[in-house]
Amino acid sequence: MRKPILIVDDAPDIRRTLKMVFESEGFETVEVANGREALDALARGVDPGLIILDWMMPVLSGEEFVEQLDSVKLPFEPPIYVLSAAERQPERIDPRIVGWLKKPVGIEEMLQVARRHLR
Amino acid sequence: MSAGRTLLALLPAALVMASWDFLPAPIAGAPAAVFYPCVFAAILIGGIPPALLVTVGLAASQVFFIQPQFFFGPATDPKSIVRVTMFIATASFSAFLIDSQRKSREHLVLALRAAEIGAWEANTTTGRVKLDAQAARCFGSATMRPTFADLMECIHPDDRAQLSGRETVGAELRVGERWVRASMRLSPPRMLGTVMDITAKKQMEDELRHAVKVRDDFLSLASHELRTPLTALKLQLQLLMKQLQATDPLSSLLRRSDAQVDRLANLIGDVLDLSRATRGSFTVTRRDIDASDLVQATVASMLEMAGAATTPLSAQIEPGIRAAWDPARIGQLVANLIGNALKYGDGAPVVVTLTKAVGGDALIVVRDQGPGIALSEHERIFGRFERLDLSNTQAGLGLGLFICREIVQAHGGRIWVDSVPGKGAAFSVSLPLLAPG
Repeated sequence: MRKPILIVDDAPDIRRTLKMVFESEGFETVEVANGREALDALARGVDPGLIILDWMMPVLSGEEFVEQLDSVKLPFEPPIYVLSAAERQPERIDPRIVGWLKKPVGIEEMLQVARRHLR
Repeated sequence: MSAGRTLLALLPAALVMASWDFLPAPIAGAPAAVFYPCVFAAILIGGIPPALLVTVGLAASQVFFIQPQFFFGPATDPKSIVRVTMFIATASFSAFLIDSQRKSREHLVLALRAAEIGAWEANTTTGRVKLDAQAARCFGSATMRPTFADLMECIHPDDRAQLSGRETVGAELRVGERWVRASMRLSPPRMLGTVMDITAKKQMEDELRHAVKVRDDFLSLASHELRTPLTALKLQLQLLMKQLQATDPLSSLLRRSDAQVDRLANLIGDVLDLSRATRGSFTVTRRDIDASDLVQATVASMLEMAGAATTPLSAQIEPGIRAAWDPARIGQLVANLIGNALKYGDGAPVVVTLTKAVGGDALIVVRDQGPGIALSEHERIFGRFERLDLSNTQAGLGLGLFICREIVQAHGGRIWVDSVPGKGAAFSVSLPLLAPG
């Protein structure tokens, strides 16, 4: 049983489309709208194999989500890819963030990431 | 100069001459003691012409009319001629000096008044300060004769240290609610200074800074908001393309739409870069990278985007060049130059080269065989909103080369073009491999 991809983005259209992109190759997804919901999902026992994380979000931003990740006990620390509309990535980023993708991205880029971490 | 004023200027000399016989002996024995004041009075009242008239008149009166034995001596004696000449020369010279000094003082006063600059002077021994009206206003001083300590008291404590040393030029100081620009020079025991009120200028600068910040925040937010739907659009277009057979006529439409999305995303990036460049906050994040790989990868992605089979793009890259560059920015730079070369290159071959130049710089050259660029245009095209092609047949904001230059300058390098109309163009970028300093 393959682990799902946790999609964290406040734009419903992007969540829905990413879901379709990943499902087109048989990946499972869980979608939430901000960092707070993502932490809740993890606390509920969702065990993702990969997190696709928007950076600027209301309620709890991507940055705050990564900072508070330690508050949740995870059986496995999933790799995090940031999907950001910000022009520049910060100089220092948390080592748990393994990739920084700039919006707009193409589906091939997203699928490669999924294939790399969920085979 | 009115006739009345001229006559008034001659009056002291005339009075002296009329009362000559009644003057006390010590004065009559040393006429210079009376003559020079007469000349100075004439210049101060009437200027140069009456002063010269008085000089010559007094000299002549002594030689020809009055007691020739005094002062100049008899007119027949050569020594008298020398004395008269000396008197005329020194008196006229003094007249000219006083006149020019007075003129420059008047000019200075006019200039100070027009520029609303106040003047002040202080005596370092007594600690007394003399302010003119404007300086008193600037310092907010109730009196025009404060002490130096009083004056310093008016200035914000944090700013006082700026007024130190022998000379201060253009120190900006806070005085109560206002800002002043002060200059001073110390030549003991005197200290001379000027001061002007720059509160309005400071306010304008603050407002301008605020307006620029509002604009940048807006652009930043707008670009974020624009990129979000573009991301959804791009993913959806590509998902559709994936579902369609490659031979489906609709898939070429989708491919073109996808390219348009990329163009929109690039334009958004350009506008943000422009805003950064005008604010002077165009920064680069250097990393130790393989420059050869970076340029090669950029060429490869340009080939992929434009269609490798139909794009006349090739590269000659010296392998293994390592550099401390911002990879995203240099990639953007190279892609931009290649994009231009392909756009204007008339389908003729475009060659990208990367070499290590003498002196430790890397040299990137993008050469096309397009129509070329006239010498007079070689500077202009790197300006903001300037285009290579003024006929407006090519799309874009005219920011590409401007941003290229910003990237190159932020890396401490140089960018230039070599071209002869009709024989293509070569854009060269020389970049230090390491960060300066």
